[in-house]
Amino acid sequence: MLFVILSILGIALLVNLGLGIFVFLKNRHSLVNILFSLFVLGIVGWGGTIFALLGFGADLLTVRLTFSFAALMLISFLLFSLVFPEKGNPKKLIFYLLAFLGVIFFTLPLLGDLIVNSVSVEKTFIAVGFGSLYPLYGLFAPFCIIGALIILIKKYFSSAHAPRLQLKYLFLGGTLFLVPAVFTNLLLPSLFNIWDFNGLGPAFSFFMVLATSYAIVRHHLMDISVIIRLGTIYGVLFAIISFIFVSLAGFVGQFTSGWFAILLPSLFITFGFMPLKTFIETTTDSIFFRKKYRVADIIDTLNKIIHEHSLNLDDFLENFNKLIIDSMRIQWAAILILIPKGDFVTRQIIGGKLQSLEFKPDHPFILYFKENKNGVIDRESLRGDQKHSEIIKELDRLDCFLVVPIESKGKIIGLHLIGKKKSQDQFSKEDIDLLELVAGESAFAIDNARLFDELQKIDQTKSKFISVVSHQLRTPLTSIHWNLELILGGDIDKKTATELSKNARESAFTMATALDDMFTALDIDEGRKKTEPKKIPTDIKSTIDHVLIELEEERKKRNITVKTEWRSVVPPFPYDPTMIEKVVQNVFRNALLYSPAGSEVHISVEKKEINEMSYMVFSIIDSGIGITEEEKKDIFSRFYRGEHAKGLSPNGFGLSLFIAKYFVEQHGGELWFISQGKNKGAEFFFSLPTS
Amino acid sequence: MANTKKQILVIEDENALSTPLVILLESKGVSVVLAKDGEEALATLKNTTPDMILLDLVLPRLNGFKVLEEIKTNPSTKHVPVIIISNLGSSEDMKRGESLGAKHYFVKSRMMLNDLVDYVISEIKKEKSHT
Repeated sequence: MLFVILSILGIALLVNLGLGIFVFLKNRHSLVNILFSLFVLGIVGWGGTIFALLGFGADLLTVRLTFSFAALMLISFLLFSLVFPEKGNPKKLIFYLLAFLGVIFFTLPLLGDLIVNSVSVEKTFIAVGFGSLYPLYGLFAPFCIIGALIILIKKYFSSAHAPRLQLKYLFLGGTLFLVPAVFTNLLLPSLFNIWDFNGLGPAFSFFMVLATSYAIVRHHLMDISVIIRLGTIYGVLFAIISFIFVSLAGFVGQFTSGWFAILLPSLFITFGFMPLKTFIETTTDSIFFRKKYRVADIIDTLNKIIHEHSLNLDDFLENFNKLIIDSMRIQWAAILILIPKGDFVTRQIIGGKLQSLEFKPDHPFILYFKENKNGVIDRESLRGDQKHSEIIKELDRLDCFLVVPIESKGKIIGLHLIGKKKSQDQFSKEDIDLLELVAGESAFAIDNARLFDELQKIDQTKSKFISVVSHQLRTPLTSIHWNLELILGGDIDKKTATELSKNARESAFTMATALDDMFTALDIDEGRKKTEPKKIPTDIKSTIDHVLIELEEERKKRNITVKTEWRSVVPPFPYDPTMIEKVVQNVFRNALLYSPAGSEVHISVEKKEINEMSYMVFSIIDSGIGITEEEKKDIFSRFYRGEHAKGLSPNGFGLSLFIAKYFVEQHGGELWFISQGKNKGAEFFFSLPTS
Repeated sequence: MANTKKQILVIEDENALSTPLVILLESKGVSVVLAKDGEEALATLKNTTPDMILLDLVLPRLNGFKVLEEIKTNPSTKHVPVIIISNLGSSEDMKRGESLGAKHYFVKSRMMLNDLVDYVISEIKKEKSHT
């Protein structure tokens, strides 16, 4: 019986010792890890002295050490529960008071007969005589245990995600270990004088070890799952090799003698070691670490994907994202590609259960990477950090756990958003390293594919340009041709001839304007338009009036009423009247074209102070076709025309806003718009500095 | 005998092009109905069945290809010959127009107005009157 008890105790202590060392070595600077190691050290010391007493007989110093180590174990557990899971500062005063209390109760048993004054060892248990201060010790122990368990459970209810799960297992382990141990080693002996079970008290620590190890492996407790994994692999490897060596040597030894019996198993092990190791790795991974992937496999597959889809960005991203989702078993992941100059998301590849993402340039993730060039956004490490509350809110909203930047030549070209693991496990340091590695590999491929993509787009724009231009120029040319042909035929009256001549003249004008617009756009695009605006002090009213007169015919045709409101006096200020006339013309013509016949267009002009600068702000409101959300981002692009606009007025280059915006910006102003959507009208503004 | 006058529907949004075209056609003794966009054209066709249709392709509201499709699927208009007059000059557009049932495809800028009208008149004379 004693042998059984000693064996159980011995194994429990060895396992505890192993766990304590692992935890301590993983991060010897972390208070959480240190306290946990002290706790385990307490268990080992407590159990070890009990082991010694049972094994080697009664000794007063040893039993005093039993009580000291028990005090160390109890106070460490209480302090650990106080500190966990936060990295950093606990409430200092309470922490130090409790630590001081711990030191007292660690020391007290060693100071003579205050706690224990005699000891006797029966076959399977130990009986002690209590000293005068023992009742204090009897209060101290339940105080620590109940205190620790209350703190753990309170934290459990107030935390979320991984720490919550970790707390659950710590609480479970703590309860299953300490509560029975209090009964066997404290309550039963001191209240009922029953000593029979106190040899088993430390064995309950098995439960603690089990729960903590489980939390370590599954929920990434104290970040040591990697070591546990390696420990398991090498432990099993060692056991198998020893077994093979001994049995093979024994078996071969029966037939041959001496050196050959050693040589054969040695050869077997030399050549069999690597395959065996791989086999054990895969087997342990699939049994204990089912969620494990092999880094080499992922890199291999990624290289294949890069090779196969190097020219198609969408395909590449799709496959890359799928690879990560599948091999890391995550619920969803999304890749966002940003345009190189700005922060706009040009592409989104979303995989897994997440349906859609909305991303704006001032998104907290993007702002974060603007400031922090290195590293990833890791939900667990940011949690509780007030500075990043916006990011955490966004991570929570998306149920996103990691954001890995994709960088090329020092610039962030994309973000890889990673959702939760299907197993609910935490992301380990290994996982994050791998994600950063593949992000780096993919950046190169993304760059290449994007360049190819841009080339193709340029090519398409060019073809579109040629077809648009040829049609737009042929129409006025035909008009000039046909009208003149009829006039020259001579069989018409004078009134008709005048009308036809007007047609021809208007068409010539249309053609000249179209050519002007086209060349302006080309110049802007190729950076040739370097001519500064020729600024001369001009009255903005005269410019606007000029445009209104010019477009009077068009206005009348559409029966549109124009209301002009001069909200404040704008004295003449320097600008290029030709350029700004063109701007007003373009936005006004759009308002006329895209408003329903018989409706009203409202123009207003006012002077505004923005950032201590004085501006003239022009606004034009129509009740026309409006601008849809989709169209908003493209509306200032060269040759872009909204679908609805094309339907209403098929003849147009899609250059008017592109040019208008450029001209305004050349003056240091801005051009922008507001529209509530399709058929809800639009309001266009432009501002010009007046000083 | 006035009611035997042949009728042509001209579908063209550009005033500067439809004016000389209509003047010349009418001077050759045919009656012309003008539609300025795709929808107007289809509305007109609900009330009248012309002897021939001259169809521009780039049109507001409903483009010429759609109009042509409608014409050719509607039993009351599918027999009316349609001549496309457009400044879309690519071979794809031309093939598409012909596959949809256009009798002929003219690129306007390549045509003298007189030649176009002469062709139309000679073709329309071959047609039996449906009005």
